[in-house]
Amino acid sequence: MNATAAAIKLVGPVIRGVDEDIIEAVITAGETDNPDLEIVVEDRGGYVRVQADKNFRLTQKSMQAALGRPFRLAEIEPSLVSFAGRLHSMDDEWVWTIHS
Amino acid sequence: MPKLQRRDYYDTARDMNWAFSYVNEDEVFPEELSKSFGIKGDEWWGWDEPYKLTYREYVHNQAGKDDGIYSIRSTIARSNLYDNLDVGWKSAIKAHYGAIPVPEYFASIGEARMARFGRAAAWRNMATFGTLDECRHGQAQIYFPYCLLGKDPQFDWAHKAMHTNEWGVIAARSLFDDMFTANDAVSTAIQLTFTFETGFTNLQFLGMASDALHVGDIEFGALISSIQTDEARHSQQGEPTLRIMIQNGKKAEAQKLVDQMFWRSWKLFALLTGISMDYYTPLESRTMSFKEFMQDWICRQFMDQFKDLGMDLPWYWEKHFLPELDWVHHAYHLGVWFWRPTVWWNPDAGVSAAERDWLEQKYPGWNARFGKLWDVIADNVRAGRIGKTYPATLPIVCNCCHIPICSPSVGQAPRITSHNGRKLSFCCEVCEWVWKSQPERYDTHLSVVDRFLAGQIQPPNLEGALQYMGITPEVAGNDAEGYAWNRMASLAAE
Repeated sequence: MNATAAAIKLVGPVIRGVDEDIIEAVITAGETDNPDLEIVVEDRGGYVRVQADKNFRLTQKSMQAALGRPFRLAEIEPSLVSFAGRLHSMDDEWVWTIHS
Repeated sequence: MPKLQRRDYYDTARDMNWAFSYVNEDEVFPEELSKSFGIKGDEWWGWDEPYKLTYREYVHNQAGKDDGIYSIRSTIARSNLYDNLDVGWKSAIKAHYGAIPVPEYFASIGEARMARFGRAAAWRNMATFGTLDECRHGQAQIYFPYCLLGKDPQFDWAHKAMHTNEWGVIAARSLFDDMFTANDAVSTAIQLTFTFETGFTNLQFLGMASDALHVGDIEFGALISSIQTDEARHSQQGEPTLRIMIQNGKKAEAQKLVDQMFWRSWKLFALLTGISMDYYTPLESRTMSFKEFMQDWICRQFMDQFKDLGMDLPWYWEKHFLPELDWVHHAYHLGVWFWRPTVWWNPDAGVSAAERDWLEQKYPGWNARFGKLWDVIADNVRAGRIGKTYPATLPIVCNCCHIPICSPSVGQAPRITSHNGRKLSFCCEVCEWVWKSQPERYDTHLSVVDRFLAGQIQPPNLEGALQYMGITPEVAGNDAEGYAWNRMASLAAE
């Protein structure tokens, strides 16, 4: 592992593999909400990691646009099997971070 | 009626903290049920959950989750999905169903204790959801295998296992009692929700869900991944509790709680998940090795978060934990297969020529360390000496993890020690440290071997031991493939 790879700390949601529409929406919304970060998608079948380096933001607005329907972020729970990083959840925006 | 945004009422609805005037704090939160670590009253009121949810949202989400899994169950109920599953995979889900569903109710007791004795209202609120979550997990994971009972009597152990003294059950119950049912609310938040649920449950519930979809077991994959969505939320009781302990100068105490339970969890998951992933899951369906799952979920994801909170790696990380990733579950697997009549599933040897190549690739040195032991077993099976592949005695069991003592090399002696004149055996330095760091929690508990020596198991032989463990003939484990792996190896050699 080189120095750059070691310094990367991937954070963000891990989505249930059987929930195809939410997986696609989180990837699309993640790209919109984190324009300066590379979104790394890891598909493991039963679950899919959607992550970025040290910071991952997800907004209600982008999720609604990606899904094309009303959506409150609390409704992501049935698909959110895990996450990397420390979560801060608000009504219209969830953020995962690692500081160190 | 105007509808308020959640943020406008959330804090008002959850922050029901008040200073006591008619009773003492110690009467409301006795130390035995809610160890304060010397942190007083309103210091806990800053407890703030990272994952926020109202009761209304909770009920809506949970109803949807249950609709999802039970409709999958009823859709495939009359299909032949189960019959077509790989025999090794069937063993993996039987092991899961015996070890996990009833302990979900144990976890519900731990959550209920936090729902009453958690030291902040916001925490008690989240723990109330957690209590209900764990009931859901117990119900679903007993109902699903119940539906398979007509196909295979071993599924009876989804309900029966925890009510027996089977050796693996003693190991599991010892861990779960230590962490869930016999723990105080504050330690439970650090050990159950932080260490165990933020860390280890992902291995079994997501690692196995990942393999399940590749195997084609949609039912099991959907069930356990749905459960994990509850865990992802209620595990978040750990972080704010840890944060308050650190802020109040109790980092060392919190570190010790994590170090103790990280190790105990590791041992049991190496047994359950390690064997299931690297031997029982059919080769073509394995997404990653157990070690790779550990590196991704524990060494990276869990430890990134843990260190970000200002905590340190457990003291045994380099010397004991990392080396065990390479060998301990391989040794457990060999033991479980050898003592196969003592378990409620059919151990899959998982050592055909192709599987050995995979093991050697994922764990360089596997052939030299374990392959040669399987060679002896394979020779005996080929020569028709099946009797030689069965045990005549009981193994020595560790007084901390309650798993038969294994070592990285043949002939290495267990750690024999004593406490107040009682002889104790440990598998390693860390198990000895865990036990001796709190002997008052462990010193009246007898291992299955202690019970044997005390004359509790009669007649004192394997037959008596099986009877003591509740193993009946129709459930006793046998080789999952009827030794077909060996005939294949034999054909390949010719």
